[in-house]
Amino acid sequence: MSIDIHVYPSLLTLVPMLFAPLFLLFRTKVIHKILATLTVLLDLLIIYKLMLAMPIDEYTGGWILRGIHLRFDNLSLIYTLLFVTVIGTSWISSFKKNYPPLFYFLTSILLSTLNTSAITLDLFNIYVMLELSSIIAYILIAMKENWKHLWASLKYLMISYFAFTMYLTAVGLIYMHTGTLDITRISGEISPIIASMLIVPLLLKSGVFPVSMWLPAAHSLAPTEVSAILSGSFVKMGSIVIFRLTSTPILKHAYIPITFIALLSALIGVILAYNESNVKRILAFSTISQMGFVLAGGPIYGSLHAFNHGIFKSLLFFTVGDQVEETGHYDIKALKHAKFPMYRYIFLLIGILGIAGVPLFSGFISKSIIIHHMPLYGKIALILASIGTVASMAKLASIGYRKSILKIPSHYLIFATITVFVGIKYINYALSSWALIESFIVIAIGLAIFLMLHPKHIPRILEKLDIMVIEYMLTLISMWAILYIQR
Amino acid sequence: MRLKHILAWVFVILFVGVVAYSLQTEVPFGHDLTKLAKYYVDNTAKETGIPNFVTAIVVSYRGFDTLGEVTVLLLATLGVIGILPWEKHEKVKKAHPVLLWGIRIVFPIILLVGVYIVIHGHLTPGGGFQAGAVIASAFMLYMVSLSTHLDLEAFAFTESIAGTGFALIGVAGIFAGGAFLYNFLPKGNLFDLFSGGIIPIVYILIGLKVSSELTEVVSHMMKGGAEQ
Repeated sequence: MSIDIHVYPSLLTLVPMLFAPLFLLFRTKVIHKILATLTVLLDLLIIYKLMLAMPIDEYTGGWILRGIHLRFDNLSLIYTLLFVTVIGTSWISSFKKNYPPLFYFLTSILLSTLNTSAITLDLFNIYVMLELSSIIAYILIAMKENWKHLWASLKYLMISYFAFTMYLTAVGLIYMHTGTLDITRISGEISPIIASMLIVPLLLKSGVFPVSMWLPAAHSLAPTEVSAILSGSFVKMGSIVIFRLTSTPILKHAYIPITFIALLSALIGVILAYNESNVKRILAFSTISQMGFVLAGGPIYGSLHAFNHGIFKSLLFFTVGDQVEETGHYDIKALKHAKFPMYRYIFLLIGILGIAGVPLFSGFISKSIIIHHMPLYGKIALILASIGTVASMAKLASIGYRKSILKIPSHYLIFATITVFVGIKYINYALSSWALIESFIVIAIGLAIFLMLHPKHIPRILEKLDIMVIEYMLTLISMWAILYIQR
Repeated sequence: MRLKHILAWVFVILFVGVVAYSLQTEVPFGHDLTKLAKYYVDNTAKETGIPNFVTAIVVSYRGFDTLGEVTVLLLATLGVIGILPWEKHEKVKKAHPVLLWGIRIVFPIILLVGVYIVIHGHLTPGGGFQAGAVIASAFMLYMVSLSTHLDLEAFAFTESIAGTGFALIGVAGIFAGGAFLYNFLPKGNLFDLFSGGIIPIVYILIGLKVSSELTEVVSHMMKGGAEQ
């Protein structure tokens, strides 16, 4: 039975969604393994078929120009591959632990939601996906029965509903003005307030500094697999929607304030990460910084960095999270006593080399391309942020290792292979003498800072900025002001 | 007052001021229908075979969104059941006889109204979501007044059958007509009860799903009180 290729984009949504209830229905581990494998394989098969015929437009239900517009293009390809890799690999790891069937159900629907967000071009459909994925995140974060987790989840729930209500208002107003919800067909002028009400909620979703102080608590308290999924795939959702919106002619000018926020986030994220002593929170703050890189990079280069970051950050979260779960310590001093087993330390190092932008690892390529294509102020900010990344990751590497039996867990191996493979295969795109020299200088200065500047000498003002509603309002006002002046 | 509080008030007032000031000219009241809205008004009956535009948009034109919205409700239910740690309450006081007798009269009437709304979802205002809330309210009234809870398994079963049914009808559309939620059944005459192809069937399934989910949430909350 053959299916028209023009229906394949919606299959990316439907397949994981139809498999999800089966995880609740059959509660044995063997069947869960079979179902998870089938979901991942079918998803990859659909992506492969779509890749051969890119770009493909679909209107759901066959209602051309009046249904929901889906499009599978280069951007969707990168993101859907990232989503299926991160969630599939987290499933591999989760089979070694005791996760309830609810976990598989939720992550399967999350996969479907994230896939949809990567292909949809409909403003209201994006709202549904934002809502759906956030509800899944609340439940995943709060799944451990502990009041601290509930509080982290509730904090995120409150701020994101405040934001999504604004997004929905903006979508309604755009529909009233232009008579369409299709991103590619919105015409006319979008006023500054509507543009900022549309974009700031997406910034909150993509985890950049002023609006994302929910992220450290949520990412650090969640179980290992959940933090990898949240940091590796969930926070990427906002960035793809922002890329889609800002590549239209009517919202192109909004990219300037977004770049400012992204650069700020890249810088402040690493300062916060360097000050922190809880290992999982270091990684969470580093996500805030790296998402700044992604958004500053724009649709083409930023999406590459989103993919690379999703992969090596998941690897870091897995190695560190497994260590934390094994020893029960979050603090870096306590972990220095326990130390990493040798095999895990090697994989941790691969992740760190990736995120620090060392040549031959994937982070080097996307980072140097992004820095190369920025104006001067952006170059300076991003190089400073890279130095900070090296310094804060050196803290993790300084935990050290002890001798142990050699094991190669398959979920580490998948991420590490992709990090190294991408780093070697595509090195031609970034390789220039300037990029090499720059990366070595960045690493040298970063290590020097790590050796000389102890975090206790840095004042802790930024940590106090976690009154999220006020920060959200401030971001929205400043975004509006910049757009208003620009007009 | 501390500086922090003063700053917070300043930001809140600034924010409300900016939003209110700049939105006042943005809301286009009293304008003509937009192009897309006019299209729906003119062509819905011809294209989908049902006279209710809202139903046609919810179930047919934007059925893909509705699948998402239905999942939102399912996840909310699972979240309440999975996370909300209910504590056993004090023994509840018995309801007043007026309420106990009143519920016997009102309960079937509410159910009947709910069933009427869902069956005529494609003809008259209202539909699966609204009827689901009405039907659930009947069960809620029953549970609250008798301070009891209902069998969760039965509702979970109804809910999963209805949800899977919706998705499967949508997928059947892919094989029958090459698009998700393609209307592959005969459309019949406009304004007939049996018309509109798959639209009434999907809406009845949504009604079943919504009502059982809402009942499940309240039933879970009532469980704490009743188990003593």
